[in-house]
Amino acid sequence: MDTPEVKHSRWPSPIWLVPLVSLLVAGWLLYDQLLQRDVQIEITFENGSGIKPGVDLRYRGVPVGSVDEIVLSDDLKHVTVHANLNRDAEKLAREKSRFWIVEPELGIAGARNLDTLVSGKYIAVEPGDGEPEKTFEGLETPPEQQPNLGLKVTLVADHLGSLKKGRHIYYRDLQVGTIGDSELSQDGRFVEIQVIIEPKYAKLVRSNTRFWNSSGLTVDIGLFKGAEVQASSLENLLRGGISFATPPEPGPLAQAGERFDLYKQPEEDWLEWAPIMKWQ
Amino acid sequence: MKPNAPAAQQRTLAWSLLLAATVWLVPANLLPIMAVTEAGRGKPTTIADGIWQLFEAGMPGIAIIVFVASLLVPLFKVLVLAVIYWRAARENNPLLSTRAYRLVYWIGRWSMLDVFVVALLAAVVEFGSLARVEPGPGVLAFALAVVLTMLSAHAFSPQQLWLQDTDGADHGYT
Repeated sequence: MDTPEVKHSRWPSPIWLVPLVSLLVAGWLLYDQLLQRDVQIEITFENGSGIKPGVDLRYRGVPVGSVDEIVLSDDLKHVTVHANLNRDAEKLAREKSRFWIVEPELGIAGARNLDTLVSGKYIAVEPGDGEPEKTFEGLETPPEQQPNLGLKVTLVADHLGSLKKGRHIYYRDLQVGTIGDSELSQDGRFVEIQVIIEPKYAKLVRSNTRFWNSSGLTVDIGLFKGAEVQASSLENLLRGGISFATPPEPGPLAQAGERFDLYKQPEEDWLEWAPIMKWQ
Repeated sequence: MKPNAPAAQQRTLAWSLLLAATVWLVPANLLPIMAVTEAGRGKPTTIADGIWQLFEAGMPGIAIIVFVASLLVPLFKVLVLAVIYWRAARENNPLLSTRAYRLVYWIGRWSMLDVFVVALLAAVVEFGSLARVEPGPGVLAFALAVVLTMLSAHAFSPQQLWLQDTDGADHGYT
């Protein structure tokens, strides 16, 4: 009787496809899931007002992540916000990225960030340009009010009036800066107001520049000329602001931290001043 | 036909399924098995995360049970089966191996507990934006690992442990 002929297949048994396919699929799954995972970042704030787990991180108004948890630092001086950034927004976490808490702002003349009243506060991101980073120092105020950006000078006034932080500085009614923190001078006689002029307008401020409070309106009633009402702009009138002008012969550029007097109102010829500033 | 031919084929099948199960154990333990979302926030948790959370929540007993049932047992099963298959060609203690095999086979039916828990939670906890549980990709990998381990154990018959191999290891029947 014939013995069956045993053929040895040159190919391994097809059953080995099972672990092979498993390896491929599992590897792909791991790669996909682990690399699709959100990026964890840490932001330190001095004050975590209104920030809760689940609060959005937004860039240009679009959610790009959310806050995981908030922990107090060991020395109780900071709060550290642990947040995760969506994978596709990973590029926002760079060396000079700036993070700040956006709060509603209500005033007579305008309201900003009203959406935060309903949806709650959120953390705004402005990407930097350095290497990828995981830990950040949060800003206490929006970047346009940051003192380290732009020319910072001090105005000395008798009264603060309505010149609150965040109000604007105008040059010929064009907004060129913002008002920062105010404090009492050391002897208590004056109020010192920090003013931040945007870098591109820093040239406008010279050592002989005059600053005046342009909020409110000036009503001048005379017997023969009737009533004259003067106000720089309606927004300025309602919100309060500071204007400045530089004489026709501009002096040297103002140094950072230079002190200026804040006049209550402009002298007439100040408004006529139109020096030619040489731009770079 | 040699008496060990089906046994070697069996072992090939069992080995390949076991290998596939081992492969799936990796994502099962590294990927989140479910994402619990409470009031709009929450994050996916892996098996290890879940055990750690239970431990931190002051439930070390349950944490240990979950650790044993979800982490140790699947690994243990794969290892024991590997040892049994390895020794099968020249088994010198078939009784011990058979007992170990029966134990693994018996545990098999209980190892889908995790999968059931996740499936049950995902089906029951569904309150829209208030709270919801979504199964993660890890649970799929876990289920696959469990099923492949069971299939592997099933493909292997312990009778061959008691047969004397004529010439030892498998040769060319793969």
